[in-house]
Amino acid sequence: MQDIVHETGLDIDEMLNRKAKRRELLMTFLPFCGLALTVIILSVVTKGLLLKPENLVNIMNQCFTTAIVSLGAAFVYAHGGIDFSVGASCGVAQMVCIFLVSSKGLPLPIGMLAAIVIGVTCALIVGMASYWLHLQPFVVSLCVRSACAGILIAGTNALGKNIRVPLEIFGIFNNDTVKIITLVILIAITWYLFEKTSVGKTEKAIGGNRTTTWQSGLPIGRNILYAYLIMGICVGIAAVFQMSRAGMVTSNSGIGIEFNILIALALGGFPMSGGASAKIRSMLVGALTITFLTNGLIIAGLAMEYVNIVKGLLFITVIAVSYDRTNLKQVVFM
Amino acid sequence: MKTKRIISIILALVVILCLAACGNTSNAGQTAPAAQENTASAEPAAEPAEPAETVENEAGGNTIGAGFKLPGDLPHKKVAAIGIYSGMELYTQWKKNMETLLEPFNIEIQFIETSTGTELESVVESVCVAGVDGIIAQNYSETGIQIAQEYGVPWVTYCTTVTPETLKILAGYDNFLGVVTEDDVAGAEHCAQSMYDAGCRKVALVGLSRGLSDMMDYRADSFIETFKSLGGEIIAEDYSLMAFNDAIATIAASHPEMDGMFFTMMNDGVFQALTTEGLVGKVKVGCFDFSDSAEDFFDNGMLVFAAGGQSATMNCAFPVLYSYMYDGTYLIPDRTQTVFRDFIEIHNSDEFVNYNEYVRYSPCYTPDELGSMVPGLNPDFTFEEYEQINANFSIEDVMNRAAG
Repeated sequence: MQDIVHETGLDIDEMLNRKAKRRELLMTFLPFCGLALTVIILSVVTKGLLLKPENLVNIMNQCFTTAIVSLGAAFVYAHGGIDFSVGASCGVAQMVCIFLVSSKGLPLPIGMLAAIVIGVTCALIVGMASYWLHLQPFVVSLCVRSACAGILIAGTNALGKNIRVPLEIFGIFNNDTVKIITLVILIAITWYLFEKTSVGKTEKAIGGNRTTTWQSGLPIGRNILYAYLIMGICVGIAAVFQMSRAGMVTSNSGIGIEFNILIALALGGFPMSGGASAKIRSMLVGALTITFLTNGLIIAGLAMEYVNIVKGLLFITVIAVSYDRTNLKQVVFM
Repeated sequence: MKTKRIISIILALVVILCLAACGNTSNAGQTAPAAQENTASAEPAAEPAEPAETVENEAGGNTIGAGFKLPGDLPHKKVAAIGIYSGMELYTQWKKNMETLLEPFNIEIQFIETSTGTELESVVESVCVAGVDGIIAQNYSETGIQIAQEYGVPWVTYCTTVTPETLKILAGYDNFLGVVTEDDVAGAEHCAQSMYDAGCRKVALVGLSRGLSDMMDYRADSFIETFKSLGGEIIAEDYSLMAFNDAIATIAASHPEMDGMFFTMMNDGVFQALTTEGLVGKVKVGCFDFSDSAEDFFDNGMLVFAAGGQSATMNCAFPVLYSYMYDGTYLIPDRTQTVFRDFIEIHNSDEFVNYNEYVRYSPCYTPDELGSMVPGLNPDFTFEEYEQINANFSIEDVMNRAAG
């Protein structure tokens, strides 16, 4: 050992620190490089149409829902949780909101509040059942998803199947400026909570090592519920914007958001099992990457089945290369 | 490890680049037309062809656009077809039928599926940026149509029932050209009548989960209402998504008095389950859609009614879109009214053999026939004729036209 220190002039700790720093630097920039490469390649293929200002506005609109839900989902995934019910609960939140505002004539803020309450309720059911009943969040969220899908079908049937969203009332949520302001505010709040408060730090600590966190005396149960609470609020907000964009609420509303979140998570380099390397920016970079990819490939004239093949290949590739096989733990990569 | 990662990234990017480049090949040399170029004021680029008439042929059926030939110098147009074009036979047939129009109409079609999690609106935005001249979609959304209008892109919907209230709202958008779809209500009424005439009095209904498809729901509601009004009894209803086989087993066990079954959609698995449960010879069946086994079950007397022919709806809706793309003419003047098409109704194996030969794998309409439905190309053609062509759709109609 002393020989090595003499030869290199460094001790083992310093060597490991340098290696770790190099890796961290690489991990920080690789998702951005991936996004930049995607944009550059698709810009060339689409002959510049991808970066036309009007299309950039489209891209903002297209990734808006995924981005908002991702911000909340970051807290859940940071502690190693998972929630497959966000799409269906988002649909139910939309249905309740439109019912209260259109059918009952209640003010828009009440409808928004109801959407958030629905989102929070569904998320908390997953959180509470997984923590207190010691059930896998994956299983609980599938149950909630199934229940919400049923409620959505029954509810939309009772309300007239394809329920029109009156754009004269909800039109404000289609305003680009409103969307940008909302997104910026949400990013600022979630970033602050995630990086600067004990809530975010505890979530990452739980994801890193649950036992150590518990031994440290940190309130695991309470923080897990905080995570689902924040995600529920984000789902409720996303629901109002999504229904305004779609112009109607149907039995399919919200379906599929959960898969977009997972893809954003993988492409952004968010660690699947949570932990200290979880970053809010990873979710946003992932959401942007998948949106640019989908948008660009359609503009390029690629058939949808091939778009899905590309997404699938990319997804598998990212997972394959970002999985640290030495300690069987996911690490941040692209 | 690092090398493997870099190689993986490069391979993934190469895949994207290759596939994207492949997709772009067909666009080579094309530039995105400005939104204004797609509007109603667009000038026709080709001279109208000789007027054609809709005449009655020797067999007594209508001949569409007799003598009409599509001009060879039609302007190039790019169309986005949004819907489902893979998987079930009907969907793949839609795509095949539309592909017969590529060269005659000088069009390019981008088929796009709105997969799970992909918003219809996002797809519309993307194809509009890519510079399509028109959208033919299996579904609709007000916002999607609004987005298309901002780009001056016309929109026609097919194979989807839209309520009159919603149609009024959609017709408020200049680029919305209308809806062409099958008459599910009439089809189910005819099925109920056929089953009642075949002696069915206690019928069970098996269908797709309520709320998933308006068309399926209309079929179920209409069948129940008509069958009850005839004096029959609906002894069981099961809407177990696609788990038809379980539904058949459960109903067969719990309702031995059952003498008929109605299915809002049909596949070979259903016939197998009916056989397995020993229902052949005991119950009569009426359904929408066909499968390969249908002929056998017509032969053994179990199947008394089947409705199909939806595969021709998409290409028959195309003239509505093309007419507007060509010279800004609305083929459907009152866009608040749906253009309904009749189902092809089959009652026996002979008719089914004809169905297989003339309808199932055929576009049912030639490019010239569809071209003759475009008033800009055939000035004598009227909406009333178009309405009649859709209403007349039947096995006899297709056979007569095929016979020339």
